[in-house]
Formats: sequence, C-alpha cells, structure tokens
Amino acid sequence: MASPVEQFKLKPLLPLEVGGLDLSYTTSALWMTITVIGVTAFLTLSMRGGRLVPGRWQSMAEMAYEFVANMVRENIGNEGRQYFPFVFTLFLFILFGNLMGMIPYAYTFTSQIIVTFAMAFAIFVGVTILGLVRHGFHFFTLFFPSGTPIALAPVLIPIEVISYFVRPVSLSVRLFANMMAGHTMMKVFGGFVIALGIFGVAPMVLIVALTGFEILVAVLQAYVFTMLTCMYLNDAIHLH
Amino acid sequence: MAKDDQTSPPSLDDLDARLRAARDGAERKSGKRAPESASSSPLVGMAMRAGVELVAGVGVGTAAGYGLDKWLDTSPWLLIVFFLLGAAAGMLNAYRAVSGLGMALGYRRGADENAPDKGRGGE
Repeated sequence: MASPVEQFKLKPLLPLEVGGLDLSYTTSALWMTITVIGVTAFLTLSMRGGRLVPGRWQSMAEMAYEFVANMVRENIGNEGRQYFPFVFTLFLFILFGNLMGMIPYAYTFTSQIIVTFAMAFAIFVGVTILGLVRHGFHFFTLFFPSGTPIALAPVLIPIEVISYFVRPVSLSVRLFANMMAGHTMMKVFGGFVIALGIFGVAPMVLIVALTGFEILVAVLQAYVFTMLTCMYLNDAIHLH
Repeated sequence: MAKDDQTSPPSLDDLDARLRAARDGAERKSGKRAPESASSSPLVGMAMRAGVELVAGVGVGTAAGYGLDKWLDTSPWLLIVFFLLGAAAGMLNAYRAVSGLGMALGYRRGADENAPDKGRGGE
C-alpha cells in the first residue's frame, strides 16, 4: 500500500536543467497550468453571454467577483480598487488550486510549502515596497505605534519587527499545513478502508464527511489567504 | 446631436451628483455590513489562525536568533533573546488575530474598529 505522503511526491514530466538548476516541468507545475487555464476558461466562458439576467455559470462568476470586490472594499477602502485585479487573481488561483486538489488523482500544489511561501513572500515584499514608496520613512512608525511609552521601545520594537517578519511564514504555513494535513488524513482513512475489509464501511463513512470538510477547508483557506493579503495591503496603504 | 449638446451638461452634472450620493450610500451600507459578515463565517478560520500564529512567531524568532548567533559568533545569547522575543511576537499576533475576529491583525491598536472607515471617509 502506498504511504499517505506519497501523493505529495513530485514527478518530473519534462526534465529540464539550466545551468545546474533543476527547472523540470513537474506535476505541480502541470496542475498550476491547469488551474490557470481553468480559471481563465471559467471567467471567459461564463461571461461570454453577458446577459442582464445571469444564468447559472454567469451567476457564479459574478458572485466570485462581487465577493472579492466586497472584501477589498471593506478591508482597504476606495484606494484598494487598484489592487483588486491582483487580489482577485490570487483568490481564484488558490481557490481553484485547492478545489482541483480534491479531484481524485489530482495534485494539490498548495500542499507544498515552497509554492505557498513563494506567494506569501512575494506579497510580503510587495506590500513592504508599497508602504515604503507611499510613506517613505514614516512607514517605520508601524513598528512603534504612537502613544506608547518611550521606555517600552527597546522591548516593543524588536517584538513588532519580528511579528512583521512572521507574516509571510504564518501566511504560507497556514495554507500549506491545512492542505497537506487534510490530504494526508484522507489518504490514511482511505488505507483503513482497504485494510479493514468488510468493517471498512466505518472509515468509508468518515471519508465522506471528511471530503465535505476538506472542501470547506479549501474554500476557507483561499478566503483567509486573500483576506490577510487585503489586511496587509491596508496596513501599507493607511498606516494606523 | 446639437440638441444633445445643449441638454447634456446639466443632466450630466445631475447624474454625477446622484451617482456620488448613491456611491456614498452604498459605501455607508457596506461599512455597516462589514462587522456582521466578518463575525459569522470565518470564525473557524480565525480559530485555526491563532495556533499557526503562535508557532510561526516562535519559529521565526528562533531562526533569526540562530542565524544572528552564527553570523556574530555570540553563541547561545541571541538565540535565547530572540526565542523569547519571537514567543512574545507570536502571542501578540495570536492575540491580534483573535481579539478583533481578524479585523485587528497588523498594527492596529486595541478597539480601533473604525480604522478601515477612516480611510474610506477621506475620499
């Protein structure tokens, strides 16, 4: 029987090496491509009719759009509008990646720490640059909120700086850990079904429930990731 | 066409004013709706977040301390200091994640709930 973590193994589909760097096209990359194509197809095909009274598909596309638009408006305000395309892309990419991972035999690329960390780190660097460009040195008041006693500065500033650098780590670990744990758990219970023979009905029932729960987690984690991105953008734009 | 030119300026101004009024109304409504929508569904997500926040704080603090120790050759001291600072940062982040149901994450202080509205009101 395959081990529960074997599903996360990368298989190079198109081996490629440039200057000692392994740039192979792997299953992970394949599923990212599928996700991008899927999102593009979902939005363009469902909006092709562009009817005033939306059909089922158009409704779904409009709901996704409005959901993210409201999230951006509520968390960032009006200045957030220019970042909407980025946030919307991010949300759909993670959401589709998570949900497509629920298809049997599919590869969940969000269950890899390097993928989520790359996204989180890009957001972290982008938000920091945005804050520095918009506010200059005033940006560093983030690390020492006004109204704090000066005596606390030597303790508070290191803590605030560390808690700032924790952001990309916690953002990426949250998504990665949730996806990986969920998929491992499903595989473990799947193994029980085979191992227990006729009594495998019990874990089988559990798997049905677990599948529903995993879909919830997939949507929720996409939401949380996007939500936190909005909050970080808000911090950089408004500086409390 | 000429007739249109004559009639359009006042009507455009009128439309502009009405648009602005509608937009203000929509914004106020969305501002009011925000706490509601934030408290219901993502509650589970916020609960999951606190744990990750704690662990990540300690992890980043320890890693930073270890790295600085290696670089500055001050063996265990910076590791100890940064471990404690990291734990404090983790608790701070977890507190921020939980206290405002996600709305207080970042560098907002305490019950500063209308911070997003502040930016919106400036428009």
